[in-house]
Amino acid sequence: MHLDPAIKRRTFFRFAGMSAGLAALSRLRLPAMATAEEPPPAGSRALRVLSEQDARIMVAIADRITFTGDPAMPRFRDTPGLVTIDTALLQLPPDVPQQLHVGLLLFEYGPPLFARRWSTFTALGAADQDAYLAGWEQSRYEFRQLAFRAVKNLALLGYYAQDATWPGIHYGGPWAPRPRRVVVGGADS
Amino acid sequence: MIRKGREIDADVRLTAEVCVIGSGAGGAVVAKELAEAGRDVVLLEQGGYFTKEDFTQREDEMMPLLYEDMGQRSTVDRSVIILQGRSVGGSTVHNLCYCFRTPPPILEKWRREDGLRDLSVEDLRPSFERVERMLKVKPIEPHEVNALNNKIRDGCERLGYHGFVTNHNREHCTQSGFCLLGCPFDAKQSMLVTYVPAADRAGARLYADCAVRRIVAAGGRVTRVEGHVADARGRPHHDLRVDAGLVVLSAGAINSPQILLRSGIANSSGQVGRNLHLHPSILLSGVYDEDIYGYRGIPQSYYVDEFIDLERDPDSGYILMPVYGFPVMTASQIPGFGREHFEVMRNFHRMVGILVLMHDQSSGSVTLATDGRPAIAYRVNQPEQRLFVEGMRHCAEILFASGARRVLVPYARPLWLSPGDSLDLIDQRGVKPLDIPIASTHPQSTCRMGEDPRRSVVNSYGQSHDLKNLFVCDMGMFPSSLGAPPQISTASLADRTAHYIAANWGRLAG
Repeated sequence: MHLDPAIKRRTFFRFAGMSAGLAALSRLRLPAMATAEEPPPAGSRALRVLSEQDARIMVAIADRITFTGDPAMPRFRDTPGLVTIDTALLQLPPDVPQQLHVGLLLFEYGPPLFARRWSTFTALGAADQDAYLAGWEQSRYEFRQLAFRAVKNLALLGYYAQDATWPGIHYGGPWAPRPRRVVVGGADS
Repeated sequence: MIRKGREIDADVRLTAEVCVIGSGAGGAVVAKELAEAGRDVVLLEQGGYFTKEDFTQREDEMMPLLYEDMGQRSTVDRSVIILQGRSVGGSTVHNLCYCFRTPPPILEKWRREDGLRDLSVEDLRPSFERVERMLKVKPIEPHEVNALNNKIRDGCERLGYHGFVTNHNREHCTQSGFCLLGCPFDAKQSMLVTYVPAADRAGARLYADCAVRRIVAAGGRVTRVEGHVADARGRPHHDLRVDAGLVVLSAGAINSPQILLRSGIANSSGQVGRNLHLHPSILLSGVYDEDIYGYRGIPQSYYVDEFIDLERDPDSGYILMPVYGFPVMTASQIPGFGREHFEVMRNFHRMVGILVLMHDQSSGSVTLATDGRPAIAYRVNQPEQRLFVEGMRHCAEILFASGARRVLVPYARPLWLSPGDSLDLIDQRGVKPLDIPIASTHPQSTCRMGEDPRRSVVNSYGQSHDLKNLFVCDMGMFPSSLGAPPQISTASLADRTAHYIAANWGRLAG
């Protein structure tokens, strides 16, 4: 899963540099920069590819992408969706998680740049997060559309791969249920 | 003997009369036929070896096992997603089992334009018959047509559009509907359960998790194959070398040209990797008031050929096909996110998909990228963008005619149509790269056949014009877009090649 292969090398490094700069800025904890102080997401200790920071941002994004408004449906953060995403990343070429890491930083520290909000993504309210994500989805810049599509697809993979989401969409699941595959350090262990 | 590379803890050095690279619809057939003809065959597959017990019917588990890049392989501009197999059996493990012989007008076109005079229907008949017998090809019975396909048929019949129920290669099908994720019952007669075991019984040695980097040639002949043995994550962990008297490259229309380009061989024509056709497709979805449960039953049985007439024009047209996905695939196709997205997913069991599959003259290329992955370039040309629009209009008509209350055209800013809406809205939006998802499951023509060595890579037997003991046997051989589902054509051309090699062994291997 390539995050944004259409980005030319120079563009990629420019934005990677920009996100690193934003991340560094955030660490200075400038007084007006709102940041989230949430505990690490459930299950993040079991992750093998995503860092704790990646996991925190990914969960925040996935919560909005998969928001249903239906109390009978689980929230993303209450499912093992993050582990599903992490396991998928484990089975993709190593440059994909690296690109994802940069992309997640851009999402997290992008509000001042892309939405003129002096805040991290995770510290925004739900409505503002939705507006911010819509800005990525409908951006005139191809790399932002592609980055949005990549995190959206990961979020949907993490969410709709869970049995708990299937009754709400009337999906019956496997015809002949079998034990889940155990992926220990690789695609097939 | 079938060995999994991930279980091998040493370098692999082999000697064989024939080394076949790739175990899909081309390679598995060649391996079986040549092993049965008494040749010593090594069959290499870069993906893993998985059987029905491994097929858990879960998207998150099966996509990494069975598809290149988890089903996310794409063109460099991300405008076309290319679904290709990556396991023993290749794409036949996850295909939807349409079985069509090569259309006669396409064979005639290849004869006329590419000089392939010995590829007539009669020439190919023995191969078609052998392959169809092996794959147990038969008509889909009326009771096996599921609700989704019946909706499409109903819409077509109301509109007077021609379509029919096809042949398939399933045996004792339970109609569970999980063909896309690997058949957990071995009902699908893929290469995994037909030709590969037969090759094994005939003495072929199969090595899974073995990726080929290059083919080495010396003195006008190929002499060996080099690559690596991969661990469970696909990372190289041991070297691979096969010394062989003859090499058959069947890694598919994306990976085969990659290997040839990396090897710097068989490309005096400059055509390796060029002329890529994709059979690109665009999916529309209808939402109905009644429950369909389209994910149950045989996913594709009906086939709409109203808008393709190869007898009249072998160079254009499109096919309409019913299609369905599982929750993750479906969710990824639906634009937007959040509550609005879920309101569509809530109707998952009431959705019917139909796609426009283009018999494309648009073409692209496969080249070497610096990161080792293929750089795939392809753009739908303007005439075919217009044809797509026409096809999407017909899809919407068919869905409404069969009772859909809404139709989704999945633009980045989605277009929802209701009965009575003007379909001119589709014309206004058109088809632009990245504005609407385009997918391909049939990459082809990157090592095309032809009798002129200046314009083609291989002859009608798949034999390289440059190196007489090198053959290409996969969809890359097709000189043009096939205009039909390719499984039987690929396997039959491979069968023909195998019999040619067997009959001429002394001359070819000498």
